[in-house]
Amino acid sequence: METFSLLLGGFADALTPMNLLWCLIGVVLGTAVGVLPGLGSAMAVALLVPVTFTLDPTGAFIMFAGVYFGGQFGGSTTAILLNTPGQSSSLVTSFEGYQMAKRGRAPQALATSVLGSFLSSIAAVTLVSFFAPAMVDLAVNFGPAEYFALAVFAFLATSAVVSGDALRGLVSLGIGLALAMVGIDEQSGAVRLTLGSSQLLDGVSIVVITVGLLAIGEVLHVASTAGSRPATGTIASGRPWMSRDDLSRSWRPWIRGTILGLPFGAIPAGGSEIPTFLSYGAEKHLAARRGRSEFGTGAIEGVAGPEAANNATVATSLVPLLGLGLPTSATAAIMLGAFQQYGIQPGPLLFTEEADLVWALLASLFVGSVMLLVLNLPFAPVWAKLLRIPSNYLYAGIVVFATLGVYAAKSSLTDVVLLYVIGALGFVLRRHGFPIAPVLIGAILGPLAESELRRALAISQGDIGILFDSPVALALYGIIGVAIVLKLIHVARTRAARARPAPQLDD
Amino acid sequence: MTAARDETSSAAPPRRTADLLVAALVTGIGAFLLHGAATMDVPDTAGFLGPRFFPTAVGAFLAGLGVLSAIRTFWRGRTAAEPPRDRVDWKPLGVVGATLLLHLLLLDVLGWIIAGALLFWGVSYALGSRRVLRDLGISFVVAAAVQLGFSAGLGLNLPAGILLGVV
Repeated sequence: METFSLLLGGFADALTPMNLLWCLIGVVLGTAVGVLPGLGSAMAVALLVPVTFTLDPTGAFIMFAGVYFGGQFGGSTTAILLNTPGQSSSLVTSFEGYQMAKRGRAPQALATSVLGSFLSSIAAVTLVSFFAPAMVDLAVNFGPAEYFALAVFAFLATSAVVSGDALRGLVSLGIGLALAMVGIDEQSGAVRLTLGSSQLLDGVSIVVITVGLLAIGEVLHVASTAGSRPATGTIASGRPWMSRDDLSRSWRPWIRGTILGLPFGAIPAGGSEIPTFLSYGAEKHLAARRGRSEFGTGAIEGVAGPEAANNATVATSLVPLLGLGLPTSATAAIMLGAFQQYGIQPGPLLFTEEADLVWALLASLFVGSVMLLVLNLPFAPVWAKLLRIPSNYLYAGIVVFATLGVYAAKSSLTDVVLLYVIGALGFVLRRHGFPIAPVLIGAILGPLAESELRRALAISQGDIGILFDSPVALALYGIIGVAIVLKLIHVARTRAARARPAPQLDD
Repeated sequence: MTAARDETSSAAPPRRTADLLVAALVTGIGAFLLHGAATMDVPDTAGFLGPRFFPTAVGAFLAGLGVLSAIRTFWRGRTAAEPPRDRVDWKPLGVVGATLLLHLLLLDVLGWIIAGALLFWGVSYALGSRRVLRDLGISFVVAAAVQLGFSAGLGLNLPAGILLGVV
């Protein structure tokens, strides 16, 4: 098999002592950032991108892989221990995980999450190694119309279909699109929406947008309730060890979650929110059928399944990222930005032009997930000690590191101003129930959608029919149309159900 | 209306007002995009559709959504089945805001160690910590450690400010 030899070559590149060290550092740093409350893998990667720029590309990507996995695990840890998921994908984990932690079963929740993530990551990376090239073959035939359809698909999938409130999701999307427009228009050179500021000509960096919305927004949110609930407490967690019973209850959800998650990552627009919710729903349904459901009070199945689904999705999301240059998650988008920093354009040509790098990256994903398992399972209590830092210091540290990460990237005070302004925007959005993910997707894919649309219409001399003159594009519009109809039916049903008085959720 | 009520002692302000403000903000952003698109200097080289089309489309999109949100707020009052939001504590939020602003003003003047330590201390104070001296000590240790890590470890420059001669 050709793939095997290529992958072995990748391992040969990845397994040098120096690269292993970068991977280890990446895992440690990624977990350390991810384990901070409210910060997930996207934040870990965003904050640590500037660090990797001092390395050669191979070393940087390997460190990246470590940061990525570390951040994933770290984000789930805080979702379980603190009920502050760092990313929407570990939102579901916090439902049952936090309940388990409150019942003193935090170690078991952490362990099932670590093991489930490891197993599903390995399965997903294996699949990516074998199918990314095939996917790329398909993508070679993609033109502006298909790319535009993909971007529209991603927009509507994340804003209207997945989020609870379509109107709010679309507003978030629009704000993201608007943020991405600031600066010089690439195709015509026109200056757009800079308010006359020369510092804004370069546009707003995606790192500034991400860190501002997630980290600064989170701190402002905590501050907004600090008067009645001072955030100075600490949280404890014990040694992660699962009983035989825990294991036997976990392994089926792991497998089901992995299978659910795999296809969603490969769809260039999936995101891991849908599969995690699906897995949670499936496990809840199955537990109710077995008749001894712990859901609502801390069911281990409700952590194992979604965590596996989430990690399977993030790993397979490398297929559209590497093969099509299409990021389907915030993390993937930041990685795309980092690729571009090295002058590498992910897309159909990546596998031929930068083959060594791609296979080294895939190999280092394996290395990263193994390293993480080794590091996290026995050392989780050490990580949990980070949470014994009083929350006020944790959040102060978040602000300091967010400020510094953004400032150090370009030594620009304007970026810090933008960071805080976008943080305030993130707070307002969050407070009023607007989802953050569509803002990021809009900011990231907006420029792609615009340039492909303009390119397509330039080719057709303004004939809009070119956008629908392709089976792939038509299929994508068809899927999204069906999804919207299903969503409308679902909304109508829940609205009917809500007519009955709903039980009040406590805390 | 009578004199404004004291925010801290009154119950949460009606959600409707807040939701309408947000709807107005969204409409405003849309209007800003439309205005920006209309007043844009378009180079002669611009091809088909040009740089104006997207801001116009997104601006109209956002303005429309803002109006829709406002209509929905009037129509349904409180959006169904959403949990009530916590009241905003303006004081800690204000302290964080002031801390961020102060940091921006002081970073280049006083340098990272002092401005960064104040940033750390201010956020920690806002979140309820009242151990002023211990916090100050921790803040300076964190800021100094970060400076050391970034400058010595990663070779990235942070402003030295008035401590230039010392560092």
